[in-house]
Formats: sequence, C-alpha cells, structure tokens
Amino acid sequence: MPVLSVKNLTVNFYTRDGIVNAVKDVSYDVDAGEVLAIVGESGSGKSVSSHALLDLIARPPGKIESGHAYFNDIDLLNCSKQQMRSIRGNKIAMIFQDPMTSLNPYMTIGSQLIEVLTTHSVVDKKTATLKAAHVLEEVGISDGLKRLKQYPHEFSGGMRQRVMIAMALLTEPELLIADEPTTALDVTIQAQIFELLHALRKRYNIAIIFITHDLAVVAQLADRVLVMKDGAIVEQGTTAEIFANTQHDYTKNLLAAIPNSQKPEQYRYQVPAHNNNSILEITKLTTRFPGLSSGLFQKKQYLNAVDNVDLSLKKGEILGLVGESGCGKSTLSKTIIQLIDSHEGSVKFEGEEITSLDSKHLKRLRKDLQIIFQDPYASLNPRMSVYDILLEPLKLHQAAPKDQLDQRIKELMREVGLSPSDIRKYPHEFSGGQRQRIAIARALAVAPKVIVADEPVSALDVTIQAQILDLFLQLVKRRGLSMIFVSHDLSVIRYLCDRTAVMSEGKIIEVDQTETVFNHPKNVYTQKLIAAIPTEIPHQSPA
Amino acid sequence: MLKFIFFRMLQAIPVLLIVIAVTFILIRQAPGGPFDSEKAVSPYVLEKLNERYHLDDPLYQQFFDYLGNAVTGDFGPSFKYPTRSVSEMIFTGLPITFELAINAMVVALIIGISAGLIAALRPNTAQDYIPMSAAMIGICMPSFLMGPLLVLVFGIWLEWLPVSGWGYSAGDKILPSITLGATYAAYIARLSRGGMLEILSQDFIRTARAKGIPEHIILFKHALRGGLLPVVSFLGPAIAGLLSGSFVVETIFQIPGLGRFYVQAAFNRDYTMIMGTTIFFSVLIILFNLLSDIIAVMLNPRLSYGDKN
Amino acid sequence: MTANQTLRADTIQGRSLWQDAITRLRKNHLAMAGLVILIIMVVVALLTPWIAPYSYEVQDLDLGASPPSAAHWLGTDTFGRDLLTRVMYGGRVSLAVGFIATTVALVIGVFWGAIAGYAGGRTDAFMMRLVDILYALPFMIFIILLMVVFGRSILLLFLAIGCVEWLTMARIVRGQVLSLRQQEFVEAAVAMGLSPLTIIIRHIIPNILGPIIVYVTLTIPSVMLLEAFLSFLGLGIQPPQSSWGLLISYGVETMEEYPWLLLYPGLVLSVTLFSLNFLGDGLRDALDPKTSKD
Repeated sequence: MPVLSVKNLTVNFYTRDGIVNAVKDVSYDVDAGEVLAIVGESGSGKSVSSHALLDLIARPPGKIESGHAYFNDIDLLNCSKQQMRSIRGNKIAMIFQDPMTSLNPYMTIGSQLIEVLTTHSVVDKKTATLKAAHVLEEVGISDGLKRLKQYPHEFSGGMRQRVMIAMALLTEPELLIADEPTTALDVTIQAQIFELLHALRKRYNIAIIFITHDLAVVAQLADRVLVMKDGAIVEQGTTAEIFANTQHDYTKNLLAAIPNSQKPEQYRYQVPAHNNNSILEITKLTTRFPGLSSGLFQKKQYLNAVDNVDLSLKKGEILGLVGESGCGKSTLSKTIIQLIDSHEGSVKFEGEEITSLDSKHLKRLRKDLQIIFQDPYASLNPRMSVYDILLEPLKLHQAAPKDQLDQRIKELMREVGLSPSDIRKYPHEFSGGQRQRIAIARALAVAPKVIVADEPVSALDVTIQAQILDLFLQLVKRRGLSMIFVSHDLSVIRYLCDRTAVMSEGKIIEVDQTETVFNHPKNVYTQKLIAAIPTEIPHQSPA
Repeated sequence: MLKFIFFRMLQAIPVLLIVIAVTFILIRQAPGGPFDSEKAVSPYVLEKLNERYHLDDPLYQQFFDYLGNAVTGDFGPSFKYPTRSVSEMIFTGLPITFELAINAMVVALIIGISAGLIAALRPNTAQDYIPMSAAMIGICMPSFLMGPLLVLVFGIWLEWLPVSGWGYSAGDKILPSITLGATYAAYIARLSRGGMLEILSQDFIRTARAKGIPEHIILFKHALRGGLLPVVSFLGPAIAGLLSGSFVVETIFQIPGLGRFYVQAAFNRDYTMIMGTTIFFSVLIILFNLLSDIIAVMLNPRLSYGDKN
Repeated sequence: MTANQTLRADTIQGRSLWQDAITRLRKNHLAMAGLVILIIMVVVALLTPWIAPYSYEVQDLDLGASPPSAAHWLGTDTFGRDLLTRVMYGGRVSLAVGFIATTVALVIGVFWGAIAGYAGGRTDAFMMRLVDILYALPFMIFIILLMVVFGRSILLLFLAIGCVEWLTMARIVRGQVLSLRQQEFVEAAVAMGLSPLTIIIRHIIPNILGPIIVYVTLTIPSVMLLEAFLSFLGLGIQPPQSSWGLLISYGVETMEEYPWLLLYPGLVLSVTLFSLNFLGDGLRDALDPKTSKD
C-alpha cells in the first residue's frame, strides 16, 4: 500500500514567451518508509513535480493541468484549502535546498518550530517548547532550549538545515519531501546531513522523496530511483537496477558524466627531460582581509585569508586546489593572478617577481595569466555580444592582425565548441554551458600561458560539466597550457588534475600527486574530506 | 544597539551645527537689511536698531552669541513683531502643526498600509491595479491642488465641511488632515506593496506554507515585519515632508500653525523668525530621522544583534 | 569593412538587452501613452511662441474672466488673458525647471556616485558620509531660505533643486557601481588588463544606464512638483513669468467664482506628472526583467 500515489501529473507554466511544459504526465508511487530519489538536471521538472503536490508552485504562471495524487485517500491535487493545510507540515513535511533563505530571518527559531505544533495540534506553549527543544537535540543541536531563542542568522548553514529537518520532523509526518537538501552545503556537512537523514528515517519510519541532481548521492541513500528529463520520467526502478542495468540512454549519459575515475591516461602530465620547469613559483604568500572588530576602540583585526602559502605550478600540468567554502582557495587564486594584492611573500612567473609590477608591466603579464570564473551568468558583460566580448582582448593585446580579427574570433568559437554563426548573439541568449565556453574562449583569446579556473563547473549540470571538463583536458594538452583548477568537488579534481593541493583555513595542508592524495591522504582533514565523498557508484561498462 | 543609538546621535550634532551655520551665513548674506522694507527710517533709528539687535558686532561674535542662546531655546525677538520672541511664536504654532502632522500621518498610515497590503495579496489583478492607480493619483495630484479641489467640492459646492480654520468649528480638521496625508498615503501604499511582494516571494514564506500555516498568519506574522521595513525607513523623510507640506496646507486652510508662520516670515524677511524656525524644524526632522532609523534596526534582528557577516 | 559586413550577413542577429527592453516597453500601454503625451507636451512647449493662440501679455479687461469658449478654449483669467496661452507659456517654465534641474542633479550625482563607488575604501566612505549628512538636512526649508535670501530667480531655482536631487542619484549610482565592481565580468576585464577608464566606459556605464534612465524619469516629476510647490507659496517663479504652480496658485484665489482657472492648470500639471511616473515605472519594468516577471 503506497503512502503516496501520483497519477498523470501535468504542470504547465504560462510565461510571456509561451507555454512551458514543466511536468508531463508523471506517475509514481511512494511506499511507506521508502526513500524514493527523483533525479534530474536543472529544468527537468523534478522540483516542480513535487512542489505541485503541496500546492507550492506559483499559480499563475503555473497551472496543474491534470492528474491526481492520492495520499491516504485524499487527492492532494483536488482537495480543499483546509485539507491541504492540515496535510502540509503535518502529514507531509518538506525541506528545501537553501537553508540560508528558507528560515524566516525576522523570527526566532523557537517561534518558527513551535508554530508548527500549535497549528496542527492542540498543545499548550510549554509542551510545544519542550518538544521543539527535544527534536532540536535529536537532529544534533545541543542546548535546544537556549537555541530556541536565537535567530536564524546565529546558525551556520549546516545547522540551519538541521533546524529545517527538526521542523519537518516535529509532527512525525508520514512523508518527507527533501528538495536538494545538501546542494548548498560543503561535502563534510553534506555527509553529516545524510547520516542524520538515514538515522531519522529508521527511527521515524518515514517515507522520503529525495530530489537531487547528484546520482552519487542517490546510490548512498535511495531505495528506488526515478530519472526525469524535460518534465517526463525516462526511467524508474530500484537503485540496484538503475545502476546495474541502465535502460535509458539519458540515464547512461548521466552516469557516464559523473567524474568518478582517475585522470585519463592520454592527458596526464608528462615529466619532461629538463627538470627545472616551474612556470609559477609561490612562496610564503599571505593575503589579509580586515576582520570584524569586536570592540569600539580595539585595534583592527586582520584575517589571513591566504596564510603563508608555498606552491608551484609546473609547465603543462593541471594543479587542483581543493577545499571547502571559506578556506581561501578563491582568494589565493585571485592573489596569484594579481587581482587581489598580497601582503607578504612572492609570486614568480617564469622567474620574474610579479607581486609589485607597475601598471605597464602588469598589462603585459595579463596576457600570459588568465582567469575563468565560476558563474557563467555573471562573468560576461550582458550588454556585449560574443563578438565584442572576444574582440576586446584580441585588440587590447594585439593578439591578431587587424584584418584577421573576425577570422580569429570564429576560430576561437569553434575551438571551444560554439557555432560561429552565433557570433552576434548576446550572453543571455546562451545556456549556462555555452556561456562558460564563451568565457573560456575569452581567456584563450590572448593565448595565455597559465589559466586559473575558479570553480568553473560548479554552476553547471553534470552532463554539461563533463563536457566542459573534457574541453579543459583537450585545451591544456593541445595548447600546452598550465592550469590551476579550483574546486570544492573532489571527484572533479581527481578526474582533471595531475597534482592536488588541499587548502583549509588559508593554509595549504597537503600537496601531492592526485592519486596519492586520494589513496593515501596524510592530513586528518584531507582524510575527512575524502571520506565524505558519496560512495562510489558501481561502475558502468562504457556506453 | 545602544552603541548604535549613541553614534547616530553623535552624528546629528555636526549636522545641526552645519544647519545653524549655513542658515546664519545665508541670512547675513541677504541683500538688504531687515528694516529696508519699512518706510524710510532715519539713520539714527537704524543705528539704534542695529545696536539693539547686535547687528554691528563682528559676524563670528554674532554667530556664537546666537548659538549660545539657541541652545537654551532663546532665538531672540522677532524682527517683524519686536514685542514677541521667536520661541514664543514657535510654541504657539507648534501644537497646531503637530496635531495636523499627526492626523495626516495616521491618515497616511491607515490608508497607505491597507491599500498596499490589499494590492500585494493579488498582484496584477484588479485588486492590485485599483488601489495602485489611486495611489498614483495621490502622487501626481500635489497637495496644493488637492486641497483647493477638496475645498471646492466638499466645502463650497456640497457645503459638508468647513473650508478653513483649525478647531474653530466641527469637522474643520478633516480636510486639512486628508490633504496633507494623501500624498504620503500614496507613497506608503507603493512602499508597502513593494516590500510585501518582495517578502512574499522569499523562500521562507514557501517554508511557512509548506508547514501548513494559514495564509493570514503567514501574512501578519511572517511577512509583515520584513515587508513594512521600507515603510518604517520612509517615516523619517515623511515627517520632514509633512512639516514642509504644512506650509501649503496651513496656507490654504488658514491654519495658524508653524508652517504658516514660516511662510509669512519668509515673505516679511523676518530674519530671526526664519532662523529660529529653520533650526527648530531641522532639529525635529533630524530627531524623526533618528527615530525611524532606530525602529528599523529594532525590527531587523540581523542588525540589532550585530551581524556576524 | 566588407569582411565585417559579409560576416554580419551570414550570422544570426543577436538581440541585445536594450532591444528586449524596448519590446517590453512597447507592450506597456500606460507607459507608451505617457511617452506620447510627454512628447506632445515638449513639442508644444518648444513651439509655444509660434503656435500660441494669443500673445502672452495681451489683456482684455473688458472681457474679464470668461468660461471656456470657441475663442478662448480654456477661458480667460480676471484680466481677460487667454488661459490656454498662459498654460502653454507656464508649461515652458515648468518643463524647463524639470529637465534642467534634473540635468544638474544627474551630472553631479553620476559624477559623485561613480567616483565614490569605483574608488571604494576611504574615499567612498568619506564621500558617502557627506551625502548622508546632507540627506539629514531639511532641504525644502533651505530652498525657501535660498529663495528668500537671494531673490526669486529662476536660475537659482534650477540650481537649488538640482542640488537637492543629486543626493539620491549619487546613492543609486554608487550602489550600482559598487555591485558591478564585484561582478565577475568586471574582474575579468581587470584580469584582461583593461585600464580603469576603459572598464568604466565599456563595462560599467552601459550597465548602470538603465537605473539612471529610470531614476531620471522619476526625478523630473518630483522636481516639477517642487517648483510648483514653491511657486504656489509665492516663493518660486515670479510674475510676469509664469509656471503651472503659479497658475494654480492664482486659480485657488478665485476658484469659487472661476473654477476653470484652477481646474485646467491643475489638470495639465497632473497629467504631465502622471505621464512621467507611468513612463518611469514602465521603464523600470522593461529594463529590469526580474521585477516584471509575474
């Protein structure tokens, strides 16, 4: 007997650009106590299909065209508002992706937890408070009674997600819908939340719909998997079936796109005959930011965002720089290419000190050192066409003769896998992956020797991410580039990088050959990081 | 929190000094002395007058004398009506202007917030368009047009309400209060609609819905506090606007308030009166700005507890 | 050049954000109506000396105040002057104050805000603290003071109003520049080796143009309102010059007997303010697709 039975759910969005079929004829069951994972990339309809169950999509522009969703004989899609309210947060609870914005910043945690109880049952405030404190402690937040009086901003991201989970469990619901609950969190925190969900699920015998883009997460947590693409279900089955016997091509693509292997042999760094071949040499580099001053008249405190870092980049290699959010990896990469001033130490490029260049020499250096940013939506000037974006560096550094500029721009576009016929289009007319290709083309335009890539694939879907990663591998080999690749994602680092440096609290705590770091991590923190990687997926025979 | 209030008050002091200094210098720069407009005064009398008002002292000394007196609330005698002191005139007019401003503010808040909330509940429907179009009329129809029109319609044609005065006859406070409050009601309606729409689109409102909280509780408990923050921050400038709006409204309705005194003083070049009122208005406005800042901070837990970021 | 042209021919034409915005604006009927009315107002104001039905000074004391008629479409005032003519001439002053004072505010504000925002650090803190302090001043009172002290000259009015309105402009521009500076595409431009000046011209200004245009559109009505307010009190425009505010003020004096003297100038002022506000709101929606996404 399923807890929830969704039949023929279809949701459309009526936008100014026409009707978007967000969810097409989706049917599935969720059994009591089961974890069902709904997997898909952005725009696959995975979130909309489950938000629609609790009437949480904006209507208009959204519209549930047809379908039923039976939950204990109540059709969620055709019930009264009263019925819906008595189910929401009571029988079916929900947690969301971004714990930073999902809690009301103007209310204490306590009042947000307690109102769930007072809304759904007749309890006095004292009982409700005690219960809330108890559940908080159950999700791993000690000193519950005291913390109830605090506001969300006094909790870290991981802690806020625990509060969200506590809020969902307060009424002991039968079904929990978790919409990408760990996507916004660091890997180690993510692992803790998984552990928590795993334990709670057993204790409460609760069914979970787990929405995610990450197949690796699925393997760890789910009993059954449902793969969605463009609003429709393309494949469903038990987790074991899906991984062992993939039916649909799309699922195969998804699986293949997960970087779960070592760096491909043909792209690996070849130790050259001559040995002294560091292109970048970083010694004792320190970058400070003004910290918060705790008192009025106290001396200003500084925070070492980059703390005494030694690092070298060999010509032709990809060096991975990995760490969790706030560890200073972005600051380090920007300090290296002189976007942020350093306070101590030196950076040498081809033997030349570059931390104190005047603007004329700095401009020359910029030609050799390029950067690619994380967010392909923010890194391109929205008011410039691709042509103008690529023309700018070419002209500035006279990287091509005047009569060949157009030719070069087209070549660059082809090289990164864009169609030269799109040359007059503007960034907003491209998809995320295509935009990142434009950014790559812009960096390549001046034929740099070193590229620093700062989380360049984190904002992309897995299949797109896989394509961009392969593009990087090819470009580095073909052009003989050296690259510093910054990421929080260990599997990406493993797939791409020859050597890996692990960063924590501004310091490089471990640097070695990538496989050595992964197989024999020396530092305790590195071990923790590696342990937190979602279990590896049973590997596929090549599709 | 206390630190914040303390620092904001410290900040107000230089502002006040600047106000006083600028006013002082401007007035002394004015072409023509205060007695020019009178009938020909003999040089002897003029000299005596100047002596009496210390106009022959060096400028800086006059300034510090004035400053010292102003701190104790003494703005000197009126140039125009030498028998009355400026402070006396201010405190005759103040209660009336104050009452008018309060009435107008109440009108503005009640009409503005309810219109804004009604519109925000169903954006882009008639329920949104009608109050917002009315608000647009309020913004585009200035008080010096709306006042006379209201007088014309309700006072003269329909003869429902008195057309002038303040507290002289029943109902004579209604039209001035509405005239002065209407523009601010319109601004507040737009601000509260915008603030509420912003808050209602936040993730945490979705969380509240997912918890099964009834809509009216979501609206009043979860959204109102953040949604009305823009309105609270607007209150300071609104008070400043109300005070200067009182110039027009008191003139139209012949209300013997501070605003009318000010306009008359400006016409009569009653310098001590202008200075006194300017400084007094400035203190009021700075105080209300301070107050609305403090309330805004108190409503926002992230600010009142010191942000960790 | 020819290579460039053939390239254009064989490629798909992109649509810039400006083109998108214009398309969106065209669909906003209220904003478009506002734009049309404004254009008519401006054209009429410019051509007034040639198309006005009567001369500005002509009085017809025998006629006195007369209601609208075929000869005088909007009627005449107590001196028998044609109201339509006076409204047209008044419009020239009101619109001029609106546009010129806004230009003053625009120039000072953009300059100040852009420098503060791009320089950052202490320069920014100092410049914006100054703006904060000026914000706290009761400006309406100061303008009145200025008018009292220096006499009611129209030039002074432009300057005084412009000097008040630039504060908000400076804040808006500075905020925009500050957030743009942190955008990755500006960082990318720095990493590319572009000079600060080029970055400001090519990457920052085109991106803050939208908010500036919107703010300008919304500043003009508030400036016109300010002028009308002062003129109404008798502290702004001086006769024999005229403005809508002044006409309304005269209209109020005689509204019991001759209501049209109040109604028509008031109507024209309100319609103009309406048009500007609707256009401003429409532009804001068109330039920022996020706000209009429903």
